[in-house]
Amino acid sequence: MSPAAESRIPLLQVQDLAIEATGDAGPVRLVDGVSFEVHQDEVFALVGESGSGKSLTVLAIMDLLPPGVRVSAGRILFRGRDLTKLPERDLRRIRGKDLAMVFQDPMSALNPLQRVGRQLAEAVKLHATGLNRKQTAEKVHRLLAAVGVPDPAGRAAAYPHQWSGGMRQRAMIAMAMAHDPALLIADEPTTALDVTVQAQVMDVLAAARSRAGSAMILITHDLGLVAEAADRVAVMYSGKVVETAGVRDLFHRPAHPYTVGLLASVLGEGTAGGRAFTIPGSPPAAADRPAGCAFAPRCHASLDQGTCTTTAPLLELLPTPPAGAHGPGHPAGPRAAACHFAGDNAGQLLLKGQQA
Amino acid sequence: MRTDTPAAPFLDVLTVQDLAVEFPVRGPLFSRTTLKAVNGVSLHVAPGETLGLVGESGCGKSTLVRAILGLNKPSSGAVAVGGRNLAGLLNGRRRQERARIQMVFQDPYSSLDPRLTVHEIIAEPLRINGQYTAAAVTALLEQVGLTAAMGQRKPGEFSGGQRQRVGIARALALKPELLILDEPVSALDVSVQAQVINLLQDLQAELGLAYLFIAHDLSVVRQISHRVAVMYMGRIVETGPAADVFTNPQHPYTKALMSAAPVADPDKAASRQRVVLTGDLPDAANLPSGCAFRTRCPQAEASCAAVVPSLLPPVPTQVDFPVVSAHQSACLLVHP
Amino acid sequence: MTQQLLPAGTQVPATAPTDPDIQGTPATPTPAKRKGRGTSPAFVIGSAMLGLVLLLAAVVPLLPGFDPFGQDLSAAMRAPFTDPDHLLGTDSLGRDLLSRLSLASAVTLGIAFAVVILNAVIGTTLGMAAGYFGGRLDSAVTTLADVNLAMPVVLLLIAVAAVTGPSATVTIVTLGLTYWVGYARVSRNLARSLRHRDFVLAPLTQGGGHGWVIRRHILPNVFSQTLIIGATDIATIVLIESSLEYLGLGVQPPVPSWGSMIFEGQKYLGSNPWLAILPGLAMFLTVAGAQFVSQRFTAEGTTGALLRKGRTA
Repeated sequence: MSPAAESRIPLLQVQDLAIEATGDAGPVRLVDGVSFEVHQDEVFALVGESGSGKSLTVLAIMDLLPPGVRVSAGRILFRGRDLTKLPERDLRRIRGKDLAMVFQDPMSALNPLQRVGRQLAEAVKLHATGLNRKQTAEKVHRLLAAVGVPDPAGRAAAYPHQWSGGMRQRAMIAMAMAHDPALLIADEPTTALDVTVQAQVMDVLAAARSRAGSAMILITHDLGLVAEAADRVAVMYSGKVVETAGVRDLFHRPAHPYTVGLLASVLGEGTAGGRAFTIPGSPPAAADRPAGCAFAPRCHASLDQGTCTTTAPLLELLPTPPAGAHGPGHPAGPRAAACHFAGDNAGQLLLKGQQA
Repeated sequence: MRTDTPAAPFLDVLTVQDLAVEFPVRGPLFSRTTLKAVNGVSLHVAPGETLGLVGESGCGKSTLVRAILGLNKPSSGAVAVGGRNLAGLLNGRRRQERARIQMVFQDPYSSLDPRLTVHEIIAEPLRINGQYTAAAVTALLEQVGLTAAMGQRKPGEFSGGQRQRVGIARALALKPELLILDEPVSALDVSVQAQVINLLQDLQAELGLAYLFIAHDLSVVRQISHRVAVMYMGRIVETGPAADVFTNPQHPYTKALMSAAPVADPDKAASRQRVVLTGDLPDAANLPSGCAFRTRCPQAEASCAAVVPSLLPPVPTQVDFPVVSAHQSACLLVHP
Repeated sequence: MTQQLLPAGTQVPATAPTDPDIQGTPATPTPAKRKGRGTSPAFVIGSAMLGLVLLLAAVVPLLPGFDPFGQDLSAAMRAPFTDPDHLLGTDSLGRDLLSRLSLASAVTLGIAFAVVILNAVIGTTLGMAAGYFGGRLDSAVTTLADVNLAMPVVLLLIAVAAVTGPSATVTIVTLGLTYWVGYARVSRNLARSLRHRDFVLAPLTQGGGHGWVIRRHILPNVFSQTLIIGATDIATIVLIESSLEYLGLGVQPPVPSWGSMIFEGQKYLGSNPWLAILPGLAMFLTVAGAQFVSQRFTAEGTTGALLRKGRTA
């Protein structure tokens, strides 16, 4: 397959994914029909607040859903193969090799009783059986050096608690990059870190990713991080993708009222001293989502609009912006939003409502 | 940053003078050293004013707060409430004065006793001080945007934002003049953060409260602060009016901090220049000589290892209103 | 704040998927389902067994003909259910076995409860203080607990009894002062973990003293654990106490206890085995019943419901 043709086929396709938890009163849909694609080399951000289902979605991709939670519908195609139907043995061959994950809290992802080097060596040996002891150790040191850990041989002999938070997250990145994965999933990789360290870790992540040519799914609630790192974005709300677009489109012409609200509630230079914008209310619990659009009760665009409370909007393609609206190297990609009134108007309506 | 000036600060609600807090730590083998968690910090908060205290984990923020609240004994320096040095007061009186300062905690989950109803949680400070009435608790609940009926539920039934409101109501119970807010919104979602920040601003306007607002998120600090102090390894390295510090940071650490914070705008994000610091925080028990920041500072010179820089320009000792908002920084390169 | 869903699965999403805020519908309460809280067969059977013994101890004394001490040599050594005046028969002195068994149950259980309460009070107080205040007090209590575990309790009791003469008081005090380590360990660890919670810090910043904090926040959280240990300990204490009674250390004749009744009864195992079997049966019912009932609590774990409620995120 030529490189050009290869890049057109998505690396990962999530189609109508539904995730259910067994609850007291029947199953509860935590993720409800999520679809998106991740292409080679791109950084795809999955944005949403707690409970939006973003973490569950990627855990489903890794087949790491907690007990009592399961994929109830949909497909997860990785290089054309449906991960939800693969036997455990084949999945293990993919997980950690082609698919790797970096977690939010590196401390709880590392075994406190084992030296960091040994844990990395395990990750290395899992998918590279031919290596002897010395070769494994060399590879571990190389991996640590690649993520900017000074004195890799010395640090590898230390225990996790002797590493700082930023260094631990580097170790996690090194572990995830051990086999040059095709897709790296980073779940809030810098949330537990300080600002200056966060910047370092994001740089390390970007460098490691471009070296290995990995695509990345970045899970975050931090829109600043999205703006800095992502190529394309999907915004999740109450178990659904409500909007997906190229990063510039999303920030400059958000189509879904929730996206508009989220962007407006970001504090910054413009809002300082004055009142911060807030989306009124709170997301519904997964067990009692309203009929129609889940965002309708909090949405100013939906006021007096009967359809919002009766019919759930589908994620529909929006007109593509005029050519030239994007800088070079930033593929626009399709824009889509799940709103009956999607478009630039919806956003203005919402903002107007707040001021009144 | 806020440009509105607070009520004329004739007497600061809180004055911290040259405060140091040290802990003994075990060094290599049998040696013992002291860890200077807070190392000569001075700050003051005027009535109705918000002082934003910025710093990363391990910079000594929490120790400073615990010392102000009397939970840690300072090894030197003084904490004064309403101009009265707490060290000179008898226990009962000190407790009374300290009630003028109240605390809102970072984690809305661990700061509320899961066994108690929200009503009981808010009632606790009132009961301790013999001021409990059910009506007072209801009034506090309503003040933070909750209803009396919600008081009968336990914290487990509330969301993070609602719990943080309960924490604020509890802190307001003793009618304090100053709230210490320790990362009050860092555990909350973006849209909920804004709701709580707005509530805090409303309460400040309504009750004339002063805030010592501690956060690592610069955009939140910028939103709510009149003045800002930046802390690094136990010292304040820069302080001044929020507008000045944010638009014209002096200290290299402040600059790095500002430039490291992600900006929610893809165009700006692509074009802006970032100062990415190398390395980690130094070991607090074994600080570098001279300026503690020099090991990570992109501009450090040989002289930085020799002298511990102090905050400059100096502020005259007389209490003089325009002077209190001077923009100071502790860096040899800025003030050679 | 984000959900942290690690593969370890520390947080079950069903209970924490949303973060609704103000003005909206408040989060529906979804308390974590407690395993084993239902009425399991073991719990029902255990309750019935304990109930039978309690009935024996509490209700029989109210019946006409209750007389544990009256001797009637003409009616000695009757087998159970052969004499309408003595439902469970009589012993070698012709004393009514049902009455004696009832009194023995009251005496044995009374001593056991007194010991458990003493243990719980001592252990919880020491453990809580050690965990809360830490430092030297903590090391002192920990050392005391270790020393205590190394103590040969039975030998100690024999020694004490040799000096003061055996009595119920000696048994209660000796056992009460020696079996508190479990309570101390659990309450120390719980208090240590609670001490750093912000909700413990909050009242300290609001004028409350350590006494207030311990009373209002530490003790109530520790208390439920104390109850659980107490429920499991009662069986152990009954066994230890009965062994001591069997050796003649404890209540003195003519007051009966299960241990002393078995000791007396074993002389007549050939002629009237019921004299030993019936108190043994009462002991069995108590110990097994307590175990069955306390299973429900131990399934909850001694780590404490509260600790698990603490967020891991």
